Amino acid sequence: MADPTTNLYQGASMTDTYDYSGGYQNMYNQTPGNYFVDPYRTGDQAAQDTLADLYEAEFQDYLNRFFPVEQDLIQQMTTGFEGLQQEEIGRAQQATATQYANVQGQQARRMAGYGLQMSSGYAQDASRGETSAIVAARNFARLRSEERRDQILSGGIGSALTQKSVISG
Amino acid sequence: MSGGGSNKIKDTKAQKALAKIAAKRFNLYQQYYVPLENQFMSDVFKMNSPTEMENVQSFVTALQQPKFQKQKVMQEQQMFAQGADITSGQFQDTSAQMTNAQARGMGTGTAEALSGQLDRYYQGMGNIIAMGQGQAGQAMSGLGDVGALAQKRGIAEAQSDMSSYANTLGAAGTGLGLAYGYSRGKSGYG
Repeated sequence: MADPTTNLYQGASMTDTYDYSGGYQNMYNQTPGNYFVDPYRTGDQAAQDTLADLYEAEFQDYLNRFFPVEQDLIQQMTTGFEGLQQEEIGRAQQATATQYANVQGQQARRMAGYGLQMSSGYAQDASRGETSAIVAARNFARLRSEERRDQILSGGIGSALTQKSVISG
Repeated sequence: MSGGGSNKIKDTKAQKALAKIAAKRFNLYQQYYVPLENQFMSDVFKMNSPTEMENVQSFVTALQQPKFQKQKVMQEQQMFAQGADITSGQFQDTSAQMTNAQARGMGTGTAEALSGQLDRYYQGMGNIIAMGQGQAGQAMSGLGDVGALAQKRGIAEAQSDMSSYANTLGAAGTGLGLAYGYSRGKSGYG
C-alpha cells in the first residue's frame, strides 16, 4: 500500500526480488529496496496523482542510489584527490620495486647456474637503474592522475554533474 | 462553474491510461533493471580495490615475463654463438643491461596497467553517473528483458576473462545507458 508520508507504493516483495550486494550497500549506505508506484489510483485526478508519485519515486531513487556516488566522485576529485594521487604514485613505485626485485633475483639465480656471482659494480648499476625507474614511474603516475582529473572534471562527468543538480531534479 | 461543483480539472481517460502505463513501466524498471544497474555499480566500485589492483599486477607480470625472458635467452644465445666468454666483463655488462631493461620495462608496464585500471574505474563511475542523470531527470519505463539479460550475461562472462573484463564492463555500462535512454524516449509521459 501507499506510504502515507511519501505516498510511494511499497511493494511487500520488493526486498525479495533483489538483495543489494554487501560492498555496494556498505560503500554508500543506500537503503535496500526498490521504489514502486501504485498504478491503480482512482479518482478524477488519478493520472496527475500517479505522475506525481512517479516523479517523487524517480527522484528518491536517484537520491538513494546515484547522488551518493556523485558526491563521492566530487570528493575524490577535490578534497580527496591528493590522498588518492599519493596512493597511485605509491602503487607505481611499489610495482616497479617489486619488478626489480623479481628480475634481479632471477638474474642472480641464472648467473649462479653458470657458477658466477654478481659483481659489486653490477649491483650498483642495478641500484641506479632501479632508482631511475622508480622516479620515472612516480612521475608517470603523478601526471596520469592529474590528466585523468582534468578529463573527469571537464569531460563527460563534469558536464553531467553541472547539468543536473538536486534542485533542478 | 455551478454551485458546489469542484473546480478541479478532471483527467481524461487517455491521461489516466498513460499514467497507469507509465507507473507500470516504472515498476518493471525497478524490478528488472535496477538490480542490473546495482550489479554494474557494484562491479565498478570493486575495480579500484586493493585485491583488484593486485590482480592487475599479477596479470600484467604474467603477461610480460615470458616475452622478456624469451628475448633475453635469445640474446644470450646470440652472444654465445659469437664466441662470447661468459666470465668476461663484456658479457656480464651486457647481461646486466638486459636485466635492467627488463626490470624497468616490467615496472613501467605494471605502473601503466595500474593507472589504466584506475582509468577504467573512473570510466565506470562516469557510466553510473550518466545512468543516474537519466534516472533523476525524467521518467523511465519498461525495458527489453532480453537486452537486460544479455547485458547481465555479458558482464558475468567478461568477469571470467581478466583481460577483457574492464573493457567489456565499460561497454556494458554504455549499453545500459543506451537501452535506458531508448526506453525513456519511448515512455508514455514526460
